Amino acid sequence: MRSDGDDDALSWDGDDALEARRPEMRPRRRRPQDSPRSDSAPKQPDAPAAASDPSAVQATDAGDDDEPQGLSTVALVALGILGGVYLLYTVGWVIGGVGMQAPVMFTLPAFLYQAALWLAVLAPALWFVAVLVVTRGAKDWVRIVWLIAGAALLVPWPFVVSGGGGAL
Amino acid sequence: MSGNVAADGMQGSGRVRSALRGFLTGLGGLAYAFVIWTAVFYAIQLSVGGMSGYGWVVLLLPAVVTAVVFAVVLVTTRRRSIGALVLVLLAGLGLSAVFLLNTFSYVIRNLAALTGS
Repeated sequence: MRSDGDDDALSWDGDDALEARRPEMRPRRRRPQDSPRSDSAPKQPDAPAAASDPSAVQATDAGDDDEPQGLSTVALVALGILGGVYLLYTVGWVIGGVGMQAPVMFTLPAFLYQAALWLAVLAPALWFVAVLVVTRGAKDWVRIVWLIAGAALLVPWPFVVSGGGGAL
Repeated sequence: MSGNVAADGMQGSGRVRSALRGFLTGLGGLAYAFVIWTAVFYAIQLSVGGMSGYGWVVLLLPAVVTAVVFAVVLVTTRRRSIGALVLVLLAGLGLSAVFLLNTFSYVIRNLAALTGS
């Protein structure tokens, strides 16, 4: 608890702990080559001018972080949208595949068609997982491009051409 | 002495990994062959009543595409882990099945043009 007189009225118990938790209030790590500045000393032209700039200090601190950076917000939104599209494709393949079943099975044994249908229904999920796992270390745009390619290749045409009803 | 044992262990583990890779590739090849067989079986069944050249091309295209997808999968996963190989094999299999069903859908809607009747 502070005992600064006037400031007591404007502070709450625990404020110090909150301030210590804020990242921008964290004391900057002093590097060995940093010498203590004194106002009387003349400014050297090659001295880092960023030392007095708070934004530059934050940038320096962010650069010091060794933690791996996660997906950007844009990539996350794109992944969500494409995941929704893939989910719709799965539903489209179920409806379109079942609607096409009767005319195809007129000439094809049931187990052959059923196996192909199951693979087609699972195809969007398999593609999505494969892209996410295989391109784990790649850049975000590479993942998005592969997912867009999958969305172009896996369109459930039997569902689309039947007008969404499933019956041909 | 211990160096030789370690080298033998690494060689043995590499051999097991190579054998597992070959086994999984063979298993995937069987699954792809199943899709090819389905496409060829359907083409033969439909061709009983007569089939135009365009019809043969359309009906056998899924078999060719499946074989190409399998080759591409093997080439692209050559230097990758076994898990990546399995995942890409499965994704390619799904893609082949999607192309097969799309072809079925097209054939059903254009049967007269394909059989030449």
